[in-house]
Amino acid sequence: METRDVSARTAEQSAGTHLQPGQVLHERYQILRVLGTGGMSAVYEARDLNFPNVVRRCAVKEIAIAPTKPLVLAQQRELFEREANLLASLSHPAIPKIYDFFNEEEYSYLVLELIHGEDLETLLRRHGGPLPQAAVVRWAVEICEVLHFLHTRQPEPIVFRDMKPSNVMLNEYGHIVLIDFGIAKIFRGEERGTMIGTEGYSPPEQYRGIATPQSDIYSLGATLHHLLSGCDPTKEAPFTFHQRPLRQYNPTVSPELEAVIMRALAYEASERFATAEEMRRALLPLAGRAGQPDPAVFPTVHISSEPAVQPLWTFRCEDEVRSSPRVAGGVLYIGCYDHNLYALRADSGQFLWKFPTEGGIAATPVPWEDLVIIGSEDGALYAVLASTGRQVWRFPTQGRVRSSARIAYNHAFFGSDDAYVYAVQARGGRLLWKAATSGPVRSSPAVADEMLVVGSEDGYVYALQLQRGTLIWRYFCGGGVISSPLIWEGMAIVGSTDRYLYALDIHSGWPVWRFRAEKPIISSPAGMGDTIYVGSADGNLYALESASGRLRWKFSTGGQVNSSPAVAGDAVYVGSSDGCVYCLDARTGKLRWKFETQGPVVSSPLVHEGAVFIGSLDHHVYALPAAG
Amino acid sequence: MGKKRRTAGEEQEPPPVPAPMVAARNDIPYAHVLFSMASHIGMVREENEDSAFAWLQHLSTHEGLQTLGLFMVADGMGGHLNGEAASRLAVQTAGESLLRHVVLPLLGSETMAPAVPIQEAIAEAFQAAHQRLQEEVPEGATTLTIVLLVGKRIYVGHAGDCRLYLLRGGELRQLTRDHSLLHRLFELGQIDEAELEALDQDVRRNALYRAVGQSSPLEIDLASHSLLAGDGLVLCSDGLWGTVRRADILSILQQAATPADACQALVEAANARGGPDNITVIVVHPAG
Repeated sequence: METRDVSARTAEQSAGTHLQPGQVLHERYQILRVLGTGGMSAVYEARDLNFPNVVRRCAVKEIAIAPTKPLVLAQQRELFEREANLLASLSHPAIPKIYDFFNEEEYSYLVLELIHGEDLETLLRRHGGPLPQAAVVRWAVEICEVLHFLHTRQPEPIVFRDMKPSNVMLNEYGHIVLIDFGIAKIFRGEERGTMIGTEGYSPPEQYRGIATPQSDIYSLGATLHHLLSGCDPTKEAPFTFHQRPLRQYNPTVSPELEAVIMRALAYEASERFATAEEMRRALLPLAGRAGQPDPAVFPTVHISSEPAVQPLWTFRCEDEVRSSPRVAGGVLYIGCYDHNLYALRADSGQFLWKFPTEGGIAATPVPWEDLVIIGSEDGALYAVLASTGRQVWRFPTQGRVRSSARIAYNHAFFGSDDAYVYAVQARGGRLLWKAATSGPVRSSPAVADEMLVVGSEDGYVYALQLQRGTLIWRYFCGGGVISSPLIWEGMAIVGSTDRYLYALDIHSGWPVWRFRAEKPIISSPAGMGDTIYVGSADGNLYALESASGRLRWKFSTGGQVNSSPAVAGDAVYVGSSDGCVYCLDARTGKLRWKFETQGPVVSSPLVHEGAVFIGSLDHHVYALPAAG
Repeated sequence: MGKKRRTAGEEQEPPPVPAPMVAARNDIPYAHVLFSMASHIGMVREENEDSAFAWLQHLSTHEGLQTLGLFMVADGMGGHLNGEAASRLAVQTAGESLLRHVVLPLLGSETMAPAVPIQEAIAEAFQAAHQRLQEEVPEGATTLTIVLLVGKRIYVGHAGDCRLYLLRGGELRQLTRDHSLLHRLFELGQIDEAELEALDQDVRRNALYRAVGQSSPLEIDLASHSLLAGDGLVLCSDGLWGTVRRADILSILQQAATPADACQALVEAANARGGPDNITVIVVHPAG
């Protein structure tokens, strides 16, 4: 396995100084200078003294042999001679000619055609950034040609095995030449001890000792990715090219070229190009000007446009629908700014009843047993019969109730703009306790064990004891907390207007991690597996690793995302103030479909039995088909 | 853990006495934490390139018992004296950073909650160690795994191939992932768990793609896990896990009476199998 060993640096240095300029090797090759060193080898420029009347220069590659048993050494040398003989039989303009090979002391030597030029790694470093697409494609076509030549040798295909920028030279005429056929590897000893670095260009199967023509195609893909992105794969986790989309690093790369390279980099060998010739044919149409392939030659890369989504049904209210739907017993409940709580049939949207309050309704209704509990901007929390909408009880507060109630242990917990958190009996509406904060409480409480966690616009997240409302801990965020906490793996995860999403240990209130968006986070997080999803006023829906808060992906909408995402199956749904409802692949963030309403969407979607329910400020409630 | 048991708001009326809504709180695990640490040069190496750090604080106040623990293992590399220096400096630098930024402010604060998220403090400790290594031991690098224990939760920062295992319900679960080529192949399904276990002794497992002091920027894994009563933790260098099979580590842990016995037996087991590498292990366990 190719490795870059930290301790090998000293070996490189000693290899580089083994032969001095002027010294004559093998009574024939006069060393002129050191061309380069790498690993356990060095390359010198030498003059062939067998041609006394002309200056015939050559390259001498010296390979230091790692100490080993005599028998192993004999086998290695035999292999070396066989490989050298094989290469000496090859004739191709992109392969340097081998003139001679021999062993001396603990070194083996290859005498090769001297290539005047520069390797691509040096070129990349000198250029200091991604190389232009047109040049890279031209080289890639030439590399495919020589790979095709190697792969079609008889009786056995020859696999180059070590395609990387430093092994591709650009000669004085601007053509590519492959150097270093990996012969040096024959002599590599067993590496011991912990070391740093993996080769970065080799395909997964090569580490299991499998090297096929498809392995070279992968390595060529990796090389091209490095040249065009400037992103060195030896410095990244192995096999992670797909996490570094080329065009993200270099937008001048055409989508067609990116598609070709990503296919070469397919993790499964069978998904790559079958032959180097096939890859060459895919590259040829791109060899013209950057980003302008000839559409007549290049097969269209199908970029799926999202299919049109038809609502299952819609329902029109008298005002904006900011509230989020809930479904129980086949009935959908949702509040509206026209003061009403609506009950609709979930399968058809058919109107069943409405219950008028004295103010607009922004909160989410909560079905519980035979009741539906909802807060109103008129300052009260209501309980009505789910079957008829008849009022059962009403609990008044001194401020608007935008917080949605959480029912636990037969009590409804909710907040009010009067800055209190309330616990009332769900059956009779009788107060159990109220706890003061210093700002409006629009966040909806989360319940964990015997604890209630809720945010306030005073900037604190409060953990209150369920039975009495006494404070267990509180944590100060830099801004108001309108978002509702999600209890996830022993953490309370909640957004703040200070732009952070916080993960707090529910037992201690200690912050575990935080994630910074560009604008306030009003949206409430949702979790699935090891991923947390949350929207921000910066327009993005974020997917974060729940253990660390690290960004997995983000999806940019055209407006603020104050709607709270819903995850179902392998899809995540969210609304945006750009008027759209989005359905994204939960794993990748890729758009599955979007549905455009006629007004901003601040309502949060509910996924239930194959349908996505959501409200819009265009006065409508929509039922959309869920993905898959 | 900063539990302030005071009333957050006035109570409007004498509260009705409801039926207990929840069961009484479970006993806090880690009320008394025991740990032990061992580091041994092994049977082959001439230097011990591992470094480790273990620190535990119990603070008992009217609010109850608060436990804070900090455990680190680092495995240096770079040959000559570089590996030794790299792991030692990393542990010292990260340890100082965390004690200064997390532990000391807690002792001096009224809320007893840290100002920045713990994972940020851990990331900062890694960056401090990374920078110091690049300045002072440019030829060296080190793996580094940090475990900060706070009550019922551990916070983990990780780069390289030291391992943190969770002992729970008679099973040993690896909480960290090795930043090695071999483990990456496993993650991608190229090799299965049996092959991976078989290859634990393979020389190729040593090729890392991430370590403190290497190329910038340093990327680390951060995670946090809730602990249950009875959980145990094992933090070790590859001199242990690369030599002693997981099943054997588990049975040694189950047979040991104390963390000190466990550490001793684990080092002996690695040396009995040739001790090809330095062996460092920290075992953390609640009192029986």
